[in-house]
Amino acid sequence: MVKFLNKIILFLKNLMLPILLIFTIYIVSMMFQRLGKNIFGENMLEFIEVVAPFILLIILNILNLILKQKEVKDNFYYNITSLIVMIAITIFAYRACFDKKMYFIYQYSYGINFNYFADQIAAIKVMLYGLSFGNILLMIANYIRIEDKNIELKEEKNDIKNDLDKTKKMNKK
Amino acid sequence: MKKFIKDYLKIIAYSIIGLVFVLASFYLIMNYNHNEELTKNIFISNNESNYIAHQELLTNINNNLNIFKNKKNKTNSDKQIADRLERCYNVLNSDSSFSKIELNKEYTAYDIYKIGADLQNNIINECWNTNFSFLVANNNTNRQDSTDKSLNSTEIPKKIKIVLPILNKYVSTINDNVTDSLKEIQNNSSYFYTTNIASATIRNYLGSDYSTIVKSYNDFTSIILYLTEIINEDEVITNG
Repeated sequence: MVKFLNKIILFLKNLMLPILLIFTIYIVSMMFQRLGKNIFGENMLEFIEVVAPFILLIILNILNLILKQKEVKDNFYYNITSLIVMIAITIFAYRACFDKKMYFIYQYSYGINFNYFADQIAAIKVMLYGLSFGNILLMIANYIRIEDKNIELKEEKNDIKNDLDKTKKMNKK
Repeated sequence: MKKFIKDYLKIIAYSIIGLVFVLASFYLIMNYNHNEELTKNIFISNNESNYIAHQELLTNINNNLNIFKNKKNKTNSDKQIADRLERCYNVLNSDSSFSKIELNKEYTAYDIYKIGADLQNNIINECWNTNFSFLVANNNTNRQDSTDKSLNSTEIPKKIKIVLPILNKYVSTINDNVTDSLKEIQNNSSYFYTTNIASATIRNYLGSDYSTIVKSYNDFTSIILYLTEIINEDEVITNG
C-alpha cells in the first residue's frame, strides 16, 4: 500500500516540477517585461537565479531515475515533502495569476500579481534548494551503503576462503 | 567510520527535508489563512447615512439642473456648462459601485477597493477631467484646448471662471486622498495575517479607507452641486 502510494506521489512530483518550471518562467518573464528587463541580456543572471533551483531538482530527479537511487526513490518521507513543496508553489502561482481578491492583480496590466509572487520567490528557492541538498546527501549515503555492501561481500568471500583453506589443511593432516 | 559518516549524512539529509516539510506546510497554512481573511466581511456602521447623504446631493443636483432648464434667457455658454454638469450627474447617478453595494452593510476588502477605483477611474476621470479640468487650462492660458472646441475661455461664465481653479485643486486633493487609500488597501496583497493584532490593524485601516472614499464621493458630488447652484445664480445676476 505504502509502495503504491509512494509510486503515485513520485509520479505526481515528477510531473508537477517541469509544469511549475514553465509556469514560473512565464510569470518571471512577464515581470521582467513589465520592468523593462532583458532576460537574455544584462538581467540573465537574475533570471537564472530564479530558475536554477527548478533545473537543479529536475536534473537530480533524472539522475535518481537513471542511477536507480532507491534511497531517494523509495523514500516516502522525501517524496511526500517534495509533493507538499510542489503544491505550495502551485498555490503561489495560482494566486499570483487568478486570485482576484488581491488588488495588485488589477494594478499591473498583465493580470498577474507580481508583488505577491516576488514575495514568494525566496521561499520557493529555499524549499527547492533544501530538497536538492537533501537529495544529494541521500544519494551520497546510498553510495556509501553500496560500498559497505561490497566490503561486506569481500569480507565474506575472504572468510569462506579461509574456512576452505582451514578445512583443506585439516583434510591433509 | 563509513557507517558513522553514512548515518550522519542521513541525519543531516532528513533534518533538511524536515525543515523543508515545515516551511512548505507553513506556507500552505498561511496562504489558506490569508485567503480566508481576504474573504471576511468588514462591518461598517454608518454606511446608510453616507448613502442617504449621497442620494440627497444627487437629488439637489437634479433639482438645480431642472431649475436651469426652465429658465429663460440662457446664454450658449451657460447651456454648455449645464450640459457638462448633466453628464456628470448621469455618471454619478449611474450604476456605480457605490450605488450597487449601498444595501450591504458588510464589505469585503475588495468591495472597498472597487468603489475607490470606480470613483477615480469612472467618476473623476469621466466627469471632471473630460468636462471641466481643461477649462482651467483655458482660463490660465487664454486659449482653447485642442480636444474640445465647443467652449473657449471668453465664453466661460464669469462666476465659473473664478471658482474653477479652486475647485480643480479641491478635486485633485480628493483624487490624491483616494489614491492614498487605495495604496493602503493594496498592502493586503502581500501582507500575511500572522497575528490577530495584524489582522485587526488591517481591518481598522480598511474601515478608515472606506470612510475616506465615501467622504470623497460626497465631496465630489458637493462640488458638482455647487456648480449647478452657480450656473443658476449666474443666470439670475445676468438677468438682474
